[in-house]
Amino acid sequence: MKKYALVCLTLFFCSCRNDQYVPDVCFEQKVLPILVNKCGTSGCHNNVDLKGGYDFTNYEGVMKAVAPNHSFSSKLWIQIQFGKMPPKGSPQLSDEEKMIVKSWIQFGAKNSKCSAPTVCDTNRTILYGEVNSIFNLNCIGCHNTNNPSGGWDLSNYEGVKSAANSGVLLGSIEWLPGYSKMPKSASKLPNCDISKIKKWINDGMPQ
Amino acid sequence: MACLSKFFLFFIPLLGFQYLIAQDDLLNVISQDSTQKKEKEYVSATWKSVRLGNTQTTETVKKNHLEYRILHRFGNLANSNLTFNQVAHTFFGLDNASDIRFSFDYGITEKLSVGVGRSRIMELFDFSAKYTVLRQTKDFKMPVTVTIFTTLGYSGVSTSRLYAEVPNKDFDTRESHRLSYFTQALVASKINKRLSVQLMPSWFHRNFIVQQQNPNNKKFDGNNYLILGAAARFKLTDRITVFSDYFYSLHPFYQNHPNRKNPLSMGFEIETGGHVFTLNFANNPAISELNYFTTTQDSWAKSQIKFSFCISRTFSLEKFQKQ
Repeated sequence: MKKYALVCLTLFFCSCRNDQYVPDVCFEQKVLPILVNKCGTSGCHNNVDLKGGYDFTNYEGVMKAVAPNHSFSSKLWIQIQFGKMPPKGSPQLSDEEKMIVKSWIQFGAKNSKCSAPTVCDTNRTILYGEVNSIFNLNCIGCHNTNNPSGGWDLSNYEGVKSAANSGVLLGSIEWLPGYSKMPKSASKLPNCDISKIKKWINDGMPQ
Repeated sequence: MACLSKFFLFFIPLLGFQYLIAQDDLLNVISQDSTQKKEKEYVSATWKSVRLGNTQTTETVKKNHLEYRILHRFGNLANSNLTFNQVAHTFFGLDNASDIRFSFDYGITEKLSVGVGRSRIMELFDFSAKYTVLRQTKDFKMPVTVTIFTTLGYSGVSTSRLYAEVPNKDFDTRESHRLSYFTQALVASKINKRLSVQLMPSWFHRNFIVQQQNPNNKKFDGNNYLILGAAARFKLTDRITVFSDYFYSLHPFYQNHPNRKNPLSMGFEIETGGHVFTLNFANNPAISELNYFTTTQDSWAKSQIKFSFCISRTFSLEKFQKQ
């Protein structure tokens, strides 16, 4: 009787899973910015440094560490799940970002693109909160308070303000001549994001 | 796998508990035998049946008895979003069936019972086990009865419905995505002849969810919910009781959500010989605990109350077994 109960309980809990499908996850717009920003920073997994042989700035490079449909056979997910990567002291993935990466692996790990929003609405007051989310997704992997690459810290209002006033911010994201192209070793920011940041700076950077 | 180890470790001590107590000195047992047996009188009939409106109770089906239950929940009795005329056209919800559940429960021993049931919502088959760990004594030296209730649900819906919200069908579909689990500790006390109260710390797990965000507090949904429940019943006469039960979900996603409400039920039980009739009013359409934390959108505040009834009949298989 006791043995039978133990077998039943084992079977009962063996099938336990924690699968979540996150709607609207596409590789290019949702997953890649996270990996470039948090893993592909300079000195780590980008196409120049190739730390450990991994380049997380393009789809083929990411797939070296991913087994489609199986998050726990994917080195990428295991390192993130058990807190081994990103290393201590660097910006970590937020819970939402972890959720997006895991769901993308479990549901096919496809090289997918979201259709861009057809209308880019900038005829309104844009507040710091909105542009901050763009910086959080694309820039703070390198430009954070602990390790402000090039001296620019885009993780808080004061840092962004000084970068914007010097003209470096717009020059870099618009890939103007004379500025280093940002985000580094990744594609240009979407036009809508750039025009939002422009509008915000022209409005006097409201908080 | 993380789930496995955690909850397995939680259950092993519960199983071994009874046997550890039994390993006393033999002489000790003999000498105390005559005196202790008189002292340890257990409280009986804390509840009338194994279920109240929404929640399980600490009662289990007696040894070699089989209990058959039919639970039927109708549609909304009233609805503040609809006019009186619209509600009247469904004959105050009685034309609609929110959920129907059939179940069989069998008592293997006096303390352990197992059951199987089928609900309409999510086409759910559920397999449950219930085990009494501690029993309340009449002298209140042990003030509570503790029962562990655990159930495993298998949803029989078609694959296309299960993954309706996943547009890309090119992934490993898993049979285990249909499973959900609900485990609770029922802690009840019969305070006096008329009043019984119960607390139910519970854990609810779904193997597969479609992630969503609470629009009010921006929290994300999770696979695991911790839930706290409370129930009470008051005996009006020997045959009629009134009861109420309530579950409060502790998950942050659930707080202040426009479409997730906590289930509350109120009603009364009528005992007539072998049958127990349960008539109750609740805001949750689903009957099974595996469904009502994910499907309850209606609220008492909008008078979206559903009437439901339950008929249970217990059959004794004792004679059958002797033959």
